[in-house]
Amino acid sequence: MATAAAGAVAGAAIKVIADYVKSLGEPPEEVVRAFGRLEEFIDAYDARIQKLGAVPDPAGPLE
Amino acid sequence: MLARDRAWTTAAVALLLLALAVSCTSVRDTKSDVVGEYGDLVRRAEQVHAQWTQAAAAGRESAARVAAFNAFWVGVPASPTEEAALGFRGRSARIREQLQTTTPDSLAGIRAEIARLRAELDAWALTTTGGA
Repeated sequence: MATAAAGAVAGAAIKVIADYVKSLGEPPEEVVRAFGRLEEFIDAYDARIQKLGAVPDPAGPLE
Repeated sequence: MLARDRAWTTAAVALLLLALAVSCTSVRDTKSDVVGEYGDLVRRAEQVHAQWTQAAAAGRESAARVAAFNAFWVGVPASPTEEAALGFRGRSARIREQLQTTTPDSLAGIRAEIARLRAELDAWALTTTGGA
């Protein structure tokens, strides 16, 4: 009974590890694309901030 | 006895594998989690910036307060601290650079900076009736 339960946990853990290892072994272009998407998000987020300049002063523009 | 030994061995191996699995998934998830937090910060920043733009245009905020917000937003180069010199925009650019060259060890620092910026932004948030 205990062995069966431990085996089930080990099986689940092996599946998670296998999925992880499998994801590492994806074709390079897919890996690049996956990480590229994350980098694109980072760039796009910062670009949204950079395009917002100083708030126009009620008495005249500051920037 | 043999069955009990086998059960203990299997349980020990299962625990080790479980720890490894958790470790693998946490390392993999963390960077995307932090990027998600950065996205939340950006959305909040756009919201606060829009509040100030509208309040200034409607004359609900004084020139001095708008200038103070702008100092927070774009920075003041001669400031004694790097944060004040960079302003929100410069600090966002710094987060961008750090996220692109990040290691698992440096993610905690980036996450802390995002949390600091979020707190500072919240302090600058305006209500519809004005007032930070």
